[in-house]
Amino acid sequence: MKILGGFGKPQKRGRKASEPEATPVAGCAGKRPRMTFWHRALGAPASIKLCVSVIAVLALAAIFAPYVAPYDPDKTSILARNAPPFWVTGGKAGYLLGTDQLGRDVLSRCIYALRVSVGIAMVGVIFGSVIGVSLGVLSGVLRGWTDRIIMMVVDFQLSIPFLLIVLIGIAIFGTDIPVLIALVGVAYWETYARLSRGQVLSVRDNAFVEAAVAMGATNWRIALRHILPNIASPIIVLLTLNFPTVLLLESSLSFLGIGVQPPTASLGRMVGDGRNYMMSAWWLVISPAAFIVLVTLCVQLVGDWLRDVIDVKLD
Amino acid sequence: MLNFIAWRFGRALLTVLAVLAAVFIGARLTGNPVEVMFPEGLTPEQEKALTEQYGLNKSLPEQFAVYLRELSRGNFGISHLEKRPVVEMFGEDVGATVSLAACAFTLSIVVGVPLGIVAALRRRTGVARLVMAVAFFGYAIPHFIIGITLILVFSYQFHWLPSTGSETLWHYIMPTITLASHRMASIARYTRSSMLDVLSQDFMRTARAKGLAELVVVFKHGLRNALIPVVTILGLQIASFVNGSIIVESVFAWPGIGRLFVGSVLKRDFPVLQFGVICFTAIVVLVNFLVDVLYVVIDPRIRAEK
Repeated sequence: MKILGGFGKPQKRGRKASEPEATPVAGCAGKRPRMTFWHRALGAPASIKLCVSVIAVLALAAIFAPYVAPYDPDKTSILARNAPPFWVTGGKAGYLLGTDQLGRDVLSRCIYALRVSVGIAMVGVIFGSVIGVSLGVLSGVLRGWTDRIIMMVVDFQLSIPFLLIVLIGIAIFGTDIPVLIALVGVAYWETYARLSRGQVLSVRDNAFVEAAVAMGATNWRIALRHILPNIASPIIVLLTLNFPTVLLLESSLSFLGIGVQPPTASLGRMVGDGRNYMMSAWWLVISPAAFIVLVTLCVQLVGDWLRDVIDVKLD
Repeated sequence: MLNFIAWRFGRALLTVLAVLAAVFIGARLTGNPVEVMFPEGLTPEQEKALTEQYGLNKSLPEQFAVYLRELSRGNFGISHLEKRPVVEMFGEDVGATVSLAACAFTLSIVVGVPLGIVAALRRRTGVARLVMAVAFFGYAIPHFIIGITLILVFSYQFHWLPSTGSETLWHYIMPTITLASHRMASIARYTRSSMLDVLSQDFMRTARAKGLAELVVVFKHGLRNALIPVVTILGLQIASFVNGSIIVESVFAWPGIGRLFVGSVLKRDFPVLQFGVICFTAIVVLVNFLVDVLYVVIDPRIRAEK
């Protein structure tokens, strides 16, 4: 393939000493020094371990919501309306975080909402990263016109506020959950594209890529077997750091009333709905807000720590 | 230099046009706005008449051409719902948005830069850790939660500040703090890291060796250099500033163009939507353009590279 011409003439570039030695033989790509990472993970500061445990507990609660939640999140109870959390006077035993104006259990609703919000954010992040990384790798491997066009689209997206794109998308396509996932995911694809393109450009001049070219590997094989494994760790860091951002985007949209639509509960939606009863029932706002802050802070802290451990330069 | 400015300006204009075309065509591909405007339903004749009245029966390129022609004459369309020119609607609200944004922008710089300097100079002390922790929280907690919490505490608990509207100076306090929080945090972080970079430079040691006062060294030699990357970042982040102001306006029922825009999204009021896109994109593109140009003017090293 002609477009691959660039692989033939490697330029000497400074490679970081910490980078694993080149894996010249295809098939050895998987045998990277994993141990060191786990050693470092075990030596993580207590705060990071705490964050990871909190994330694990919340994730389990979200996955097993039907078994964990004390009540049916949509079950109304006229007798138990507007009960405050249990530690406030007037709180009802059994309703840990109180009930809303329809007598629905706030804790149960939060757990189900966590499921929706985290689910949307997770699928959205995966969606956006797959698009971004594919285009970024394509850009870095093929270079030339492909690169120029993709980077032009990136510049284009960088110069408009993404909330605008998402809002327009919602105005055009409606607020179904798949649409939301696609929109909040796509909102950040350009970060992945820029990162992976940069990484490809710094990896592609290594001897093992040259060796692969010499052995007649196709563009596809080089991209998937030789380049992708070598640029995986910064992308994983970016995934972690991007997750809270996407979660917050979805929460903000739902808060504005243009994200997840009722009766489905999402955390942002609960805050938005609770706003109308804030005078008398502050817990309707504070409980879901606390869940949002807890998730985003923990994931953000773990992401920051990962970035330092893996030693990635993200801009 | 002129070449560079012209090239950047052309690209800026192209960006606005491309966004506009995407919105225009996308919006019309997915359903007739006439149906959304009259949810109670219309007779087929009425619907046809209205569709023709708004020119929605023509082909897409034709509609877009007509729209562009009207734009060039300064006619930005009439809201389907309010039956008034969109320019008038935005004109009424733009003042509130700009004054809030200006307050928040000023606050974030006035607080963020000194915090960043302190965190860099008093590195590895409790003060610096505290500053960075606050910056971390300011960055990780979304606008709407900060805003709601402020309302809960200062409006409903203590009854100190009004929660909605923009009539008096008191109304500005909470929205300004909320909108400034993210910017403040990121300015503090960037100032700190950029200041740390500069502090270890040779010219700083030279300045000290010359016997200059520490204050002169830090501010004249250090800060001036440290702020260059911060200015760029500020320009690049103008887009996220616009995002924030759209949300903050909704939280505090601030009568600005962000709230107007959000309202037009669900009502599918396309003329308003399109003008909103023009406004916001133009603001961002213009600021980026200005920062690019300013940057070249300020920093002689970049001018030399061109």
